[in-house]
Amino acid sequence: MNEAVAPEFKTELLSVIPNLRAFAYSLTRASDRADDLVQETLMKAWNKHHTFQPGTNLKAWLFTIMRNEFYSQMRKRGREVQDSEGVMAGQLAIHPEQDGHMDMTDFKTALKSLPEDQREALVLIGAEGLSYEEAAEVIGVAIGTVKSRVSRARTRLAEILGIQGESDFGPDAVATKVLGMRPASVR
Amino acid sequence: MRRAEESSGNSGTFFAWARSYPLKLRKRTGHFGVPELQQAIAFMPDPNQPDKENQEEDAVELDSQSRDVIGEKLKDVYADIVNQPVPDRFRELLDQLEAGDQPKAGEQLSSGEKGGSEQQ
Repeated sequence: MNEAVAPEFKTELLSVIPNLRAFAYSLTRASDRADDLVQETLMKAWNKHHTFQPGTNLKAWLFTIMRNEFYSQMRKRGREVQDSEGVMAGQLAIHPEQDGHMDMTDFKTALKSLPEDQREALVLIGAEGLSYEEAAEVIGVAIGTVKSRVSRARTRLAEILGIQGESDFGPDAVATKVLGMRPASVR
Repeated sequence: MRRAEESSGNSGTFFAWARSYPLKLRKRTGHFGVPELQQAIAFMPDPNQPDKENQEEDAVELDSQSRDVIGEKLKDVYADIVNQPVPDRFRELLDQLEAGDQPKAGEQLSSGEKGGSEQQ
């Protein structure tokens, strides 16, 4: 029934499975549903392989399929996908260790607490290595919106984790970062 | 006709109208032929354009060092997953698909996401 699938297509699918799993972990908040989502994505992709345009980014194409699959499942279940912004993050107070070293678990927790749209954008750009343009296409929003979400995601993570860029690790540095009132950039 | 708006004194309305006034037409009719005024119009914020959300957020951009820290942590977290070997279930799935054996949705899934209509 399906036109033949090129062997390379299978090979390429195999090669991006690790990336698919990573994105699935992000979408499902690291739940054990992640691998099921990968499986469903692979099946969908296989069945519509003819819609993939060779030469374009296969990863981005698969992410789009995965994302659609995920949200349509969520809708079917009638579950609230989106945390109202800041609710969870507000409850989080992770204190960085004294030397500024941050535990990986803390980071994961903070990442999970991000609003869906921000985490998604950050992961696609910062972890999966998509361009802003590709990410915008996957998510279905304007490039500027992706940039804005990534920026807010970073700011929020820094806020939750108390990350400070400059060498002075004082509380003032945190406050200025959180409020975005770096003297250099704002007046 | 248009004059009424032009002199209405409400600059917001006026500018909105001025913006919507096609440039060619403006030139042809001589309306807003004054270069200064045309420049002023060109620099006016277009109400249909700006993404306010974006502009606000850009102001909260972190310094590059903090961004780097977050970027590295993020990559570390994802490297954990990405470097894991591909589970056998996926190789098997692709083999199955290649063999033209179409697994039913949910067949191998551990969670109960089966669409009832798809049962064999």
